[in-house]
Amino acid sequence: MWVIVAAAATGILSGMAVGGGSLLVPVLVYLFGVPQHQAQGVTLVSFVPVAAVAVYAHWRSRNIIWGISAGILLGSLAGAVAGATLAAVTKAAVLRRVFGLYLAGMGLYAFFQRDEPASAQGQGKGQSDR
Amino acid sequence: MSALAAARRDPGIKGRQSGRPAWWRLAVLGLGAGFANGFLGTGGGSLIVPLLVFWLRTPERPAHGSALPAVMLTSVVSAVVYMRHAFVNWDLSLKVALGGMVGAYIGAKLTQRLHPLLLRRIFAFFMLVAAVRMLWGR
Repeated sequence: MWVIVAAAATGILSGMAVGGGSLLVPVLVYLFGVPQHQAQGVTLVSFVPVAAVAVYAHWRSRNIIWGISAGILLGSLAGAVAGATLAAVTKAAVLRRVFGLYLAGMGLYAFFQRDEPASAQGQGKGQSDR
Repeated sequence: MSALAAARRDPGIKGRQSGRPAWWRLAVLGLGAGFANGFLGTGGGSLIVPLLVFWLRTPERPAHGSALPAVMLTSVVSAVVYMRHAFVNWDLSLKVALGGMVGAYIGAKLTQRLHPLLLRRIFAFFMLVAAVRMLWGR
């Protein structure tokens, strides 16, 4: 049951557009003893319904430019098959270290990033940007 | 926001078509983000959004909004590959999805009240602690 609470905590960060999803994997691995591959698989699957709600919200606020989404998908679907297949044949210890590198990069970026995300301060200004 | 101001001042070649980047640039960006999504099981959006904003000069709100449907479908494809290799625990996924949805709802409401800078610093701190443990821990 504690895993629901932990997922909610990282979900709060995602909802605030801070990017909590990347913390979910280490939380599952270290607090709940989930193997690395399985933690990544669970993160992917659980992201889909959460994202669906967010897509609906962004669609309602007219924040989606479908041409951009389609352009990204053109590359990302192929990338996903390649990446996931490579992950499946990679040893857990190696995968964990690569994930650690990614987290270090994202952590440093989040720490030193100066621009506000789309929320809060950008709220009023974001409207005029469009 | 200063990046956006700079984009308006100097549209250059990239910015000439009112903020909609060329499809092949988007596809290249997607290829990299999709690979990360599949290989790491996360990090579609957190890679795509800054790249859209700083490289392709997309304003932040449409960058967030447009990245999401792409990341969602990409995650479905990655998840299918994980499933075929039996790396998906459905019972656990259900619990995590449940908690995640409740959390995301609370987070979206809280955004209007809390200062995100402090929160992001705290979040970054935890990410770095986790990174160190993953890199050098057993």
